[in-house]
Amino acid sequence: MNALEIKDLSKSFRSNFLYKKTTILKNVNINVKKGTIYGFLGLNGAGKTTTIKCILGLIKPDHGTIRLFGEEAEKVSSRASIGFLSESPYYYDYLNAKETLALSGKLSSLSNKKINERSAKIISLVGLEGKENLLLKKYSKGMLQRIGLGQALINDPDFIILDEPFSGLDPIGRKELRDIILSLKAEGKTVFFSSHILQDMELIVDDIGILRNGKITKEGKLKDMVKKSIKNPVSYSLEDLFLKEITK
Amino acid sequence: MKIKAIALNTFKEAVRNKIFYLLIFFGIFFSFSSKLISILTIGDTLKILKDIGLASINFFSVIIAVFTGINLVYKEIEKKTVYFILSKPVERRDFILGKFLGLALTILVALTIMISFFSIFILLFSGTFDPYILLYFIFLFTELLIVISISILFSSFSTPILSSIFTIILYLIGHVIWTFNEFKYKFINPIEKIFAYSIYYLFPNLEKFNIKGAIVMNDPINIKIIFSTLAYGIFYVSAILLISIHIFKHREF
Amino acid sequence: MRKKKYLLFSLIFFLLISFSQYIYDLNKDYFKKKNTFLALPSGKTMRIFSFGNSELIADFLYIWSIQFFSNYNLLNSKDFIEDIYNLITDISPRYKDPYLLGSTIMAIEMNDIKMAVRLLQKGSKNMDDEWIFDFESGYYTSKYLKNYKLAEKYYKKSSKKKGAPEFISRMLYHSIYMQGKLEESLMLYQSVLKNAKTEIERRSANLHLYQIKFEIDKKKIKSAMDIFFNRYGFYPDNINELVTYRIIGEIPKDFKGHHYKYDKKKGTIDPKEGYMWKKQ
Repeated sequence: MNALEIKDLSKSFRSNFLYKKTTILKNVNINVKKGTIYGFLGLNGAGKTTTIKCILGLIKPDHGTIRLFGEEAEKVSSRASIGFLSESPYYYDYLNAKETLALSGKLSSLSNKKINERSAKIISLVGLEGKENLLLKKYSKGMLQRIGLGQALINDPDFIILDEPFSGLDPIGRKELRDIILSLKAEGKTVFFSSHILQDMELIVDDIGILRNGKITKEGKLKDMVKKSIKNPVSYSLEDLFLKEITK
Repeated sequence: MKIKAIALNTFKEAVRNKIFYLLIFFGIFFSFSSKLISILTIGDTLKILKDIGLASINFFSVIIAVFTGINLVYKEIEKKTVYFILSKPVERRDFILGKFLGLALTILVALTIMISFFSIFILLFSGTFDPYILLYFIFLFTELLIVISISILFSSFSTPILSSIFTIILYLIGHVIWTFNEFKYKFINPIEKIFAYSIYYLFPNLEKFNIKGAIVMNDPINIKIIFSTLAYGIFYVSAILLISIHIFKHREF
Repeated sequence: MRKKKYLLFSLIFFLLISFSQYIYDLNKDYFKKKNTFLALPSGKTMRIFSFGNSELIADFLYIWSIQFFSNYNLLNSKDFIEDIYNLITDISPRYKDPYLLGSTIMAIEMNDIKMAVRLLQKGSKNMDDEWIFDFESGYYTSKYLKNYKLAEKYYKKSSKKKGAPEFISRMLYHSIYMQGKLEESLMLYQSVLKNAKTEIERRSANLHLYQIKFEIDKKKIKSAMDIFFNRYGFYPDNINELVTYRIIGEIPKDFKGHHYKYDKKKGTIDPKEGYMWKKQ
């Protein structure tokens, strides 16, 4: 059983009832194997965030099915084993880090004891020691990204969705995040993330999917794909592959 | 449990905003200022004290209800914190109910503070406690629950400015719609009649919660009126919340 | 069905809402008889604060005034009537209905003719091309106040205005007749008869003329009889004796050319049966 299975996912929007519908996703198929790191690539507006919103049940697909560990994504219970970090920090700025983690834990039905246990661990994991009582409105973008990752991990999820997690982080932060993602993989978790920063992605992902104009144009193991397209083995990288794919 | 977490978070948001305290302060300040105005009257100063006090509590609590109601629900969508909530295993129904209960708690706290200051003030002044003030408190609270449920309904599909306008208009209509009883016999045509009566029964009828006059004049209030008023409030809130849940469930973010 | 379950439940709650509202209304006395108090701003203030919608405000006030005066539970609502209609007509001076409705309530329900005429005259001043205000003023003054001289003035004013219907001039002649100006009204009615177009008009003019001529003749005979009585101490047996004794030149005949009946005990004349417009 795959961690995530998306079959024939289509979605179109109508921004105003007078306008025609614009199609965002056309028959998208994605399979994410358990215990792997999946890189989700695409230009801005390709439909990455829309796909993630469909997985989270924030929007309803026009047709197609999404299964998380075999359970339909429409069901609320499917989200019990998900951790989600959004592209921009959408958290309550009148709460501090501890309260944010506590709220996140309570919404995932964790007990108070479990929340205290986990949040101490997570604050050190994301590197916010000493800042946990500061209100989020005083946080910088990078710190918000850290607390965002923290709240996504509070319920010890098996499947972690990260939307552009590297944006806004400094080089050290990116290194730390890469390490965290790899350690999650080591714990047997599945990570699904979208990013523009190909260098970071290349270092950690197992599989990739490239989304172009709402369609998956390439999906598979990164190693195989890079190998397959080899002409000049020295300089060929994910970046070359991506550029070739989207300009085709 | 999840509803409680959302409700407490909503309450936290309201009480961590300075405007909340400012409004409560004004409510208390104006009800105390009635002492100054009562100096100007001749005769029954207690009536003046009660009138001004109850009116200022009413006014400021309605403002708190309308604006926190709209602000706190719409902000979730505007600032996209709703993604944070709904990406967790949380039913949309629980979100609406949690928001409602959080707002209700906020109003309850504000109202309790204002009413207790006012009761102590009246107690010090007249030496007696008026049990009708308690009834007024319950009625006003029920009315405000209707107001916040309406503001949640509008915020679940509209922008904050439109929602505040709609809520305030409905609040005002709610206070004049009882006049329908004075000209309902003029509708003879059955279609007009059905139309007029359905509007009358559909719109919130809020004037019945206003028993300020009865309190000040020590008018006895019919027990049937008390119960039908409270039942009306509970039913109305339930109906509006159910519609809000329906809309919110089918909304895309 | 499952998708709409919340809507279905809310429908049930709306039924409960209506039910509790119904119970509430049953127990609430909306129609307690009571006094009311009204304090109205001036028309100018209202016009300023209507921000350019003064006509709309006037409409609303007019509609409201209808409800206000048809609510018979307000015991003293009529105390405010002149202020209310003055306000409405100040805001919108050329709005016809408030003048007419206001004056009707004042005249018919309150019997305050002077107030009604005041309002109508305000209308006549503000809309000087409109005949109806003066006509109504004339009607109320003649019908209720019996002030025919004033009524004549109003009718005259009204009949001169554009579009005034024909019957106003007949009302005017009637008010002249009621003042006892018999010769003048005889002449006026003769012109009516001459210009009459329909059978009804002709008949009505005929009846009026019969009556007026009778009254003129009656006066003439009365003064002749008085002379006769002073001279002889009794009334003549035959009316023609007045001619014989050279008191008058000839005995007048009625409008149809018939002889009047003579009552020798009282020395008066009576018209023939069935010709009179009105009982004396």
